Amino acid sequence: MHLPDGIVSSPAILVGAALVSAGVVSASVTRVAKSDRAQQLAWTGTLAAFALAVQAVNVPAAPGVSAHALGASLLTLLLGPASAVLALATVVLLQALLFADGGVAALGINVLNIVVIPVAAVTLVRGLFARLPNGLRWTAILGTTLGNVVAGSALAAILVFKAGAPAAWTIGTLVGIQALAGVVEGLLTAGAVAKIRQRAPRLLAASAPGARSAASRNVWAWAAVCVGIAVIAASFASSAPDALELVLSRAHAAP
Amino acid sequence: MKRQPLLSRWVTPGARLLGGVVLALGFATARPSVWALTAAAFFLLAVIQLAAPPPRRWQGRLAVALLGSSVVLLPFALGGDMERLGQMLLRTTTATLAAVAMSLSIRGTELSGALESLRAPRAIAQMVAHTTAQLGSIASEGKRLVLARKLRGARGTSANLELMSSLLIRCAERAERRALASELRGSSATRTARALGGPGSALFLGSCLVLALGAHWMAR
Repeated sequence: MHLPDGIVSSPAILVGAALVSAGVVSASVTRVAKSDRAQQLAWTGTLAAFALAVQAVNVPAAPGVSAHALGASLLTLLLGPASAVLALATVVLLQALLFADGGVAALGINVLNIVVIPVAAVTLVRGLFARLPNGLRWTAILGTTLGNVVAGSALAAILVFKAGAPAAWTIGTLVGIQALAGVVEGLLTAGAVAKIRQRAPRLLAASAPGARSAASRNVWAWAAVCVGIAVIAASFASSAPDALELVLSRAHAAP
Repeated sequence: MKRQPLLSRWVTPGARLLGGVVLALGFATARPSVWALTAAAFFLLAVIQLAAPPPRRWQGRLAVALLGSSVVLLPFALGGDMERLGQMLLRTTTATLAAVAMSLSIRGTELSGALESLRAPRAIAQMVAHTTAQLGSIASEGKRLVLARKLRGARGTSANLELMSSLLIRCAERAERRALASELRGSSATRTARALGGPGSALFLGSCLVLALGAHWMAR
């Protein structure tokens, strides 16, 4: 899921993604700064370090293809969306600056795909399932899967439209692998959240009823973020034929 | 006493970070060219000489980064457009070499200070400081818990979830104690920001800027 530098060179998509990501991250920073407590920061930092460690472990998902967990649902359910965005954006930044994992120019795209979309998906699903019994478990499974599928599709769209990757293979592989990884990560997240809730309920401040209603209220704000991203992404869409269409038209044109 | 590498003595972390980012951005957005690839390779060698990272660190990082960027090129290889693939390979390799050079020029413990000196939002610099501080603690607690689990003979998904939640709870408690202690001592999680200045920093920043602009100019 980490896009390295050099694959996408379109300034419109690089700058556009960077602006959307910077907007969401700065909104989260403002929100988190209001509740700036040392303990909260320590807990957020712990989860960010955990996400960094988890993202470093690639698990074979299919022959020749591996996948890694994003940790977005775990962090969103344990910290709330604002702190989760801050923590995950820090993780992506650290990966780019310290480990050369994911590009610096592609940082906006990576933050969008690894942070903003998955956190928005989990927050949306959480708003829908908040009142149901086992809502947290369903949120973990469905939210993670939805976030992974949408993020995989967004990355595939960028690769196809802006880098000329073959559409069928790219979309099939990215979305398929991410959906599979999302279900597995969702199940693990549901189990981990249940265990933490059982053993250290005070750490789940973001899941408290009051915080939950706040999360539900934020659903519409996150929905607006998603629509904004979609509108911006659509405006960058190329009218030129995609790689698959190009290949097909060449095949038809050949004698 | 072991002396600090030349790059750490002469160039401030803020200047190293800014220079690295300028260079990585320059090479990532330039048209693919052999000149840019050579310049990025030269810069990487210079950073390895000046920052003196352990060989295993830079070799491992370079191998992982090159492997990661070539995996993304797999769809292009399957698409069969070899000319495009060649250009992509040239540009991603150049950008990867520059990114690895940047990552080797700065250590995790210096990053939060470097971000603060570049006037990054304080919350992000603090989060970077907490995250890098917690990495070591997660590794050591993780090893301890895995060993304990092995000795108990516990296996399966339930044991893995137990381990994951124990790891998070223990690390969070340790981080809370550390944060409270440093708050009571009156110290901040981030280091004091250092100025960007100094002749060494200026030379480094200038070199990065010239190389980044040169990559664009030569590839016209």
